[in-house]
Amino acid sequence: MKVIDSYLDGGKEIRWKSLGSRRIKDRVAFALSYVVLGIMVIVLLSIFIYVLDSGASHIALKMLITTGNTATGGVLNAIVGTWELVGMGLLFSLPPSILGALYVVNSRSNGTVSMVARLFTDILTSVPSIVIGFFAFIVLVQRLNMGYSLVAGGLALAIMMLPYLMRIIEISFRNIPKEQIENAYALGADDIRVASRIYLPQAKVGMLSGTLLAVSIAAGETAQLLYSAGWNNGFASGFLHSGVGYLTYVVWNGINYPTTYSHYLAYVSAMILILSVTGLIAVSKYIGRRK
Amino acid sequence: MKVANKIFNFSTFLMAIVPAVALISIFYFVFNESLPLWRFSGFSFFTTYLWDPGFQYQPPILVHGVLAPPGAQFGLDLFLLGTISTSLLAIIIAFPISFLITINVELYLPSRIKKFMISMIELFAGIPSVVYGLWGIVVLEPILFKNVEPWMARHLSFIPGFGGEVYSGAGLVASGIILSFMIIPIITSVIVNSFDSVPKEVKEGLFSLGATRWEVGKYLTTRFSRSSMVGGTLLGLGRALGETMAVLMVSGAIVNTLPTSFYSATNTMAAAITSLLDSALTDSTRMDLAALAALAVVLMGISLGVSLVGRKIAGRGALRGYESD
Amino acid sequence: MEEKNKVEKIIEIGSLRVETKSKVILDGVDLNIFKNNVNTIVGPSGSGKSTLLKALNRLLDLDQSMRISGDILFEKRNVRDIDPVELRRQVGLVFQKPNPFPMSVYDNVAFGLRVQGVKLKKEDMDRLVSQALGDADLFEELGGNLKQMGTSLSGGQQQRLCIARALVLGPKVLMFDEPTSALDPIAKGKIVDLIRALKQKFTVVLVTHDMGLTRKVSDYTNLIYEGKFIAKGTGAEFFESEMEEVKEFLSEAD
Repeated sequence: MKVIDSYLDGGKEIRWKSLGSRRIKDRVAFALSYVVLGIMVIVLLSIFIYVLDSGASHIALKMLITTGNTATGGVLNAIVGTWELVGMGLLFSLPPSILGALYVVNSRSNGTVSMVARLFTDILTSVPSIVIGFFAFIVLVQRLNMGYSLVAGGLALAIMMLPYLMRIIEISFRNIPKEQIENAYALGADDIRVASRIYLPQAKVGMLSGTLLAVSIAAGETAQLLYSAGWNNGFASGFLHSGVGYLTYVVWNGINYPTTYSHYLAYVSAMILILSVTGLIAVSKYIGRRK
Repeated sequence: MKVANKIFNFSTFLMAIVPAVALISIFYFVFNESLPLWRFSGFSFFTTYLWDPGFQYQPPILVHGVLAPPGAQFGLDLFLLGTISTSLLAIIIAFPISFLITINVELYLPSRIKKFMISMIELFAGIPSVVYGLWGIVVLEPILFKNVEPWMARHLSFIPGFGGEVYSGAGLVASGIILSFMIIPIITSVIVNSFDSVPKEVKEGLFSLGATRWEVGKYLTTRFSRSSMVGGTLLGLGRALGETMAVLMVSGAIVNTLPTSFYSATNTMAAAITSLLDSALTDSTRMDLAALAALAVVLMGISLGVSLVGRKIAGRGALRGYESD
Repeated sequence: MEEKNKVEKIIEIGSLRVETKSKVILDGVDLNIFKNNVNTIVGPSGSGKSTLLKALNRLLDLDQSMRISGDILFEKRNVRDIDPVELRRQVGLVFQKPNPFPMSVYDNVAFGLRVQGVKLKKEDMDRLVSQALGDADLFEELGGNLKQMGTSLSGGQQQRLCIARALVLGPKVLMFDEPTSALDPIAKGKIVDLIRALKQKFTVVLVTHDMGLTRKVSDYTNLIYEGKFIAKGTGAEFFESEMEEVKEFLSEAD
């Protein structure tokens, strides 16, 4: 039987670095990482507290129940307009996202098309929002003569929401156990049936949570809307040729406007925005977690 | 029955290519709109920083076969410089923070609250950019103007560009800071994912060979997460390059004046498109609009290019050599 | 077998209890690990054997959901008073699933020394690495090609690479968690020979549910069942034990 020599040989061979200096490095990394994390949490909280506090201290009922402009009115038109635009965006982006995702996950689809579809979906998420806004202006507002309108604004938001929704829905489809889908096909179900009986019901939680996240992002967007939805001091009078108000515009315009009251409207709008957005994110996470 | 299925499949196919169609048409129409500018300015679009729509109420003149207001000239240098400098500053701030946050949540933070902390950091990405802009104007700019920048100007004036006058707090520093908040969640989540994808056995193996937590972190960083760190940073950069509203609100949105110091007001391509589009609409020759379209083409090219490369690098498995597992 | 009363205890475990919020993993385990012997811990899967190993080198500390009580003495010192980094260097652990790092064989073995900041001359490092690989019975098999990726080796070779990686740190105790469960019979035989050889210089702790392996190498055998210490004995004694649990376990295992 072979004999194994010691590696240490009375400590001659290996000079261990003192544990102290290694411990100090570890402690420094520990402390520094906690300090940075702490600072970021404080920054986050201070932004939230600032926005909520300045909104809450200037809010008046009148602001929430009247429409108008930055001089004396309220932001009801902007609140309603925001949800109209987001709803319109969802209308234009959710159905194609679901169908597109069904194509991409379907193993009988053309692999090259699926790959290209996913690639473009990824690229589309990186298009700067103002470029989408510019495109919406020259094509939808001008060429297609929609004017500043709910449809143009909704489509501009949809371009942003579409790739996002498609990816998230694709992921929730892929989380479904493969056997279930294969079984369904083996039992002779066609694609419509597999989609309606397996994909949609099984992925509904993931889809709902993803949709809420997409809505939270869309509600906070501005740049796409400035030159597609335009602006309206009152309510939009129709789907086309009538501008729409939205909260992000009030924040941007109000804070740059020289009257104190317009600043107040900006604070209140920012508060409503941040509450809605974080509320949506929280609900989405809660739903997503329970699964 | 079969026909219905065929129709259904065809419609899923059509919808799957909607993103591609959208992207291509965005590029086509915006590029198309910019064509007169390229004939009008040619390469000088890249070599001057001046942006002058010309005299729009005088009869337009013919230059290189396209109509433009007399005196018009367009150059993107100021905006390009501002876009690059604000984004780079954002990366310089955001990268070390994201790295340390990752080290913290992966190695030091009790695992019970890891998820909660990551959700907190993700909230930075959820704040609407106009809210950042508002906070920047009302809170950040006064702090920079009154406290931070005068101090820097006094004590760091030996570094070129760090001396000189402090104007308002709006500008490169404010933009860089706010952009960094927006991209910290992006970079962090990419690095955290790469750490999480390292098999538990490997992490335990590292610890059982007597490595400290920091040594494990250092090893995971250099061995497993290098490409994710580069990719995540590029993804963050791509986002910062295209960010519009917050930067528009805190950059000073300056035109025709090159920054003279670290504290000068600045402007970016995305912010310039937003703020100049309104007045461009009064140009009956549409040359001003074409110039903004050209800005949009360049911005889209840079930002998509950076994001695409970032995505590729980040997606390249952290675990080469471990695929067999 | 040498005389038992002269054998020195290197690790003493007293009333070790490990639990998470929802379940008790180890429920008051008392046992001793004897120096320069092969100490085997057997028991059905899920009985807490691996957790016990991880408690010995304080790897369990990394999982905050684990609550640990009781005492573990390593060379008469409570492991809680020993820096975990120091402890893990002296009490090496080889995992059930081979976990080479994605780097060359050479770098895998040198890793433990490098990560701990040991500065060695190139020839000293070379010598230690080849010695460790030789001791782990891998050096010749690789034909001296230490540049190939550790992850590209076969399962049995990977396992021996992990042993070499632990050996090079010169541990006093070397713990194996089911080292043969993922291996084919030939690779298994090599590990058996290796464990026998290792106990001359090291103390070996072996966790397994493989009774064949236990019969071949074990000097002291301990049975753990559902988190509780049940029985112990020297290699031969254990298999003749009259205790119901031992019989039951043996009949199930064989």
